[in-house]
Amino acid sequence: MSAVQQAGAAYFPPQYRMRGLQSVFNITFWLQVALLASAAWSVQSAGWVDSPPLAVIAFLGTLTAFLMADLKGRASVHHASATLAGVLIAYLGGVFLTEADQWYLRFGELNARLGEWLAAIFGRDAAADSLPLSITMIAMVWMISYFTSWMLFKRRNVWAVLLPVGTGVVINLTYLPERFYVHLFIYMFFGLLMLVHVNSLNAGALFRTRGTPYPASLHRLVLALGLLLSAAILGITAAFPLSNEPSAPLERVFDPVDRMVRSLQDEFYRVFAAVPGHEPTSVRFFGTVLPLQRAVPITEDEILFSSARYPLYWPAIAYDGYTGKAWKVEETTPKLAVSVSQELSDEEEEGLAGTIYRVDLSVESPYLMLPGNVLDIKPNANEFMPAFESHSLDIVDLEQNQEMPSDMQELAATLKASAAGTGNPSVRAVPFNIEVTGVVKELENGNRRTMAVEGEEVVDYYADLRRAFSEEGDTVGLEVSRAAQEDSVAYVEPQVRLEKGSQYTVTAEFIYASEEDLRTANVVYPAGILERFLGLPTSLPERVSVLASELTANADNTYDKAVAIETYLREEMAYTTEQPEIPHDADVVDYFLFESNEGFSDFFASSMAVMLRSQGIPSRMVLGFGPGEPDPEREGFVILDKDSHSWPEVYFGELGWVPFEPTPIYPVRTRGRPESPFGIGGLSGDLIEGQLEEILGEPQMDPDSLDTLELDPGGPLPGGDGAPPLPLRYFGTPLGLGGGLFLGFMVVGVVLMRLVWMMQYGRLPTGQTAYERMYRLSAFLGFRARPSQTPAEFTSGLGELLPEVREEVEMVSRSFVRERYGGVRPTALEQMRLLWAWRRIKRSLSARQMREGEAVPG
Amino acid sequence: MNQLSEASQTALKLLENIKGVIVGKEQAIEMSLVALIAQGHLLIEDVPGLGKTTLAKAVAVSTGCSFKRIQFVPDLLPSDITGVNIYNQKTSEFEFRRGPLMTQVVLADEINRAPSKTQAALLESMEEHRVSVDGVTYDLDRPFFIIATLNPVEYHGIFPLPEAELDRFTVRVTLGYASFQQEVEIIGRQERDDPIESLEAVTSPEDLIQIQEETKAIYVDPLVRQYIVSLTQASRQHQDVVLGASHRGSLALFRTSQALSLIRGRDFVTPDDVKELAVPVLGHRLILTPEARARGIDGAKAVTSIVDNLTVPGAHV
Repeated sequence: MSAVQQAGAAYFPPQYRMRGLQSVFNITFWLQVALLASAAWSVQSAGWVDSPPLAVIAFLGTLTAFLMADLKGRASVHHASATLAGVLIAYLGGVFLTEADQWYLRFGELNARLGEWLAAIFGRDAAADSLPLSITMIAMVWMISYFTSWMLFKRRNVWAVLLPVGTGVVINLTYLPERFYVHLFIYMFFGLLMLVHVNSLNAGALFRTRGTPYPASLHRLVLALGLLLSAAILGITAAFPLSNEPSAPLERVFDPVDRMVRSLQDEFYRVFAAVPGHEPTSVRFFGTVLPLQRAVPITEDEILFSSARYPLYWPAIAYDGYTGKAWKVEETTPKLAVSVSQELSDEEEEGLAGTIYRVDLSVESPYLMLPGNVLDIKPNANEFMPAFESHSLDIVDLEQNQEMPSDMQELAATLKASAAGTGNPSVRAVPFNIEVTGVVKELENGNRRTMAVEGEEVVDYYADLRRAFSEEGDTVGLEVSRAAQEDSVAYVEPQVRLEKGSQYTVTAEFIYASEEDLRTANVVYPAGILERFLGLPTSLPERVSVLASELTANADNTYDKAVAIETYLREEMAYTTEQPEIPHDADVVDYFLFESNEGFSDFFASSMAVMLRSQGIPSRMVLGFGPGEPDPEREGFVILDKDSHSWPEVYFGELGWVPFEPTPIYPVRTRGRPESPFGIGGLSGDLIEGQLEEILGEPQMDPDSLDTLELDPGGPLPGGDGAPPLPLRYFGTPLGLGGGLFLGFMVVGVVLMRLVWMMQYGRLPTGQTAYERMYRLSAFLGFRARPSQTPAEFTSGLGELLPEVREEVEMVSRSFVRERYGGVRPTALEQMRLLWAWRRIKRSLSARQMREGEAVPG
Repeated sequence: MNQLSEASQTALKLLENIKGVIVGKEQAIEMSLVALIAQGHLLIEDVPGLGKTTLAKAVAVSTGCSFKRIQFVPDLLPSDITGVNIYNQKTSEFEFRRGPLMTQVVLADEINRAPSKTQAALLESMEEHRVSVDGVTYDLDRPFFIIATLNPVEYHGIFPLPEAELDRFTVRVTLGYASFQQEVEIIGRQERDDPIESLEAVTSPEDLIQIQEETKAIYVDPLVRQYIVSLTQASRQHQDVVLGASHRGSLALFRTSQALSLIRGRDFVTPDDVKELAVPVLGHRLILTPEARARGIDGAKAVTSIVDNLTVPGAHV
């Protein structure tokens, strides 16, 4: 706060300070109330949670600040008591919202529910009770109302009001943009008005400290002008169509914010899992916690296009922990990307098929969606990944690997197993996200040498790797590098953000096990699987596992047990996209199975996974997308937002994770190779079996077929020369939109304000306006007219003070006198000359001010 | 507008003409013209020999008006100035012989030497623009302009005018002594003959009447009217003043400010006009408290102090 502002705050004119009942008519107060009420109204009508009327809370907060701003005493005491009052109000609001019949029971209920909520927060569970959010909301509305009002009434700081409240309104806007534009407009209207009003008041105060009159009429004029302009600006902006695509530079600015908010959002969904009313969860919102009360996406927005020939299911993220309210990713230590760990036998080879498919994303996605066992990703998977980590694996003596991350240890074990007998590991045992840079061979004489593996292209790389393995001597170690990962590879989060228009091409193999394979699969669970994928909350009612064991009583293998549960769910439960209202204390699966009997894929998948777990079968919940619709023109599949889907996967030992389909609107998963609607063979991008084997280098090498292999059927890839198309962000969009809109408003507002001001006062001054300006400025600088002075007397004094512009000063004065007392307005030419005269006077006055410091002698 | 500027030009010509014969005293000359154009009367308060008669003569000659001078003495009777009915023996009828008052420009010299009766006759003619002799009322010529002089120095054998009667004079000026340079110039000018002898009329009495009428059309803004009234009202409340300016004072200020604007070539009145006229027009109308007089305050000083404490309406934003 500058000295001038301080002086302004201290010298607030009596008519603008509030005293008792007069304050009822205080414009600032009512503007603030209107501003906050409009924001509160927007939050309320977003329907986040049940709450008492937030506008009333906002009013109370404002009133408190309003009354306190006039109190003497320490501000900290005021704030502390206001905070206390806020907590109390929020608590009482919570009591008001509880359901118990007796009022005294309500306190108990509230306390119990808050306790549960806190326990869930600290237990990294999803908290599905909406009551805490209501309370938080009330408290926030109160605190924001109080503190912003206090800043306004005490410090006259209008930005302390506009920024926090505006942020609230814009954040609210991110949920249902179309619905809340009207709220945004109302808020902006009051905001602009407030801005004009408070600035005018401050200007008046500043003027008064300098002894310059700032008549109330001028304030009223400014206010009326502000009112008019606010309405005009909003009217104009409302008439323009709104762009859904924020500009790229703006996007860049919001990028860090976006990331931060994403992580916050994850937490928010965990802590306030029950928040309904916001935008349906789309891939952009897939977080590490999946509350089971999300809204189902039903829009036709395209998520991605796949050039695969077959319908593929698109996993985005897999959850291992079930809490009764939500699924979450519990394990965060690195894991192998894919579960290929064994050489398949000759018979099994027949079920093997590989394909190259290109994915064109139509939205930004936090994850790479990668069906199949991935051999390679172009652009290189490493480009998507965080910084590289290099490790030297010893695949003979596993003890040597103790210090490494667990996935590296696991990889070493896998490689050792696959090398058993042959002395060399299988190429297939190397997952796609691990790049082998060197192979350590032990020669017969006991020497070790390292063969470099350098191939850039997938074919070269595998050929190189294979060559290195087949060199003389046993493979005893591998130099590998992989992106340093912190998260579980239950999802694959790229380093480079996948934006709208991003493309990546995947070379993957698919293992299509038949029903028979699955029935007879040798289900052996490696370490970690059982601990991780059998966990159930203690709060799960017993009847769930009772039902599961009844259903599986007649099955003697894992597959049949899974099918029994799958069939039960498909036949007995109804599908609906309605968002369920689940009691805050219910277990979601239990409620679905025994109370509501209807739900969408999350409920089916969760129930199946949970029931399987209760029967000791490791299973997980996968969130992603269904296969979408084939698009004959583009020769591929289009996956839309409404294809958002979730399904359970069951661990079948050596066959890996096998998906099931308990959701009745989707067909049962085929076991074996799917039918391609486009026919097989001869199509670019499709790998027939022989080609895959060439890559993997089994029986023979045929240079011709290598040449014909198209590895990059897609267009330019992101990160290349072509500029990436405009990205669309989930947070950046509305915020960019809101921010851009607001910025636009401000610019238009300032320009319009300036225009009107110029028309009123600026364009060509009349004698009156020129004289008024001269009068004000010189008074502001300390040269004041005595009341008994006539304009001529005043200006002759001013002329003496500023001899260099004496003529101009006198001209302005003459013009003013003629207009004021003679009723003669100056001609256009005179106005022109007045303008020039005024400019010279202004310059002269300012120069004098600078020369002489504080003030000119009055 | 055109007519007005014509009138303004005539007034300016008059002003220049008179300045040609009187050295310095520009304010006094302007004020006497103001009084003339505002259809008022002029009171010159000064010691003898400073050019009062010259001023009066110059005004009369320049306007082409008839001029008479009346020297007021203690035995001057009302009929001496108004005229008298004389029996004409030839026609056997009473014949009215016009007095010196029946002129267009009258110089009433040292009016405080005449008895009150005579003063009253003069004042009546000033206000009413007519004289009554033996029950017959005679209208005076137009324009009718009285320049009266008061000698403030002498105290013997004088009949002081009551302040209330001074109110009848629209403007009071003091000529004062000329500066050294000016006095040298006065001597030089009159070395051979009085320049007043060679003075010629620049306008006619008819034109003067025309100007007087047009003056009334000068625009006076409500703000200025407000200023005028607040001035006279303030004079009534001033601590040093027993009796403030009358309504006639306001009216005089109003008319004279119009006249001054005309002379200055403007078609509207500014607060500066009013301010400039405040002392000449109001100064002699105030009756001060004895204490104030003892402190050396006179009417002019009182008016100055009033003006200095009065906000000029419309001048401040």
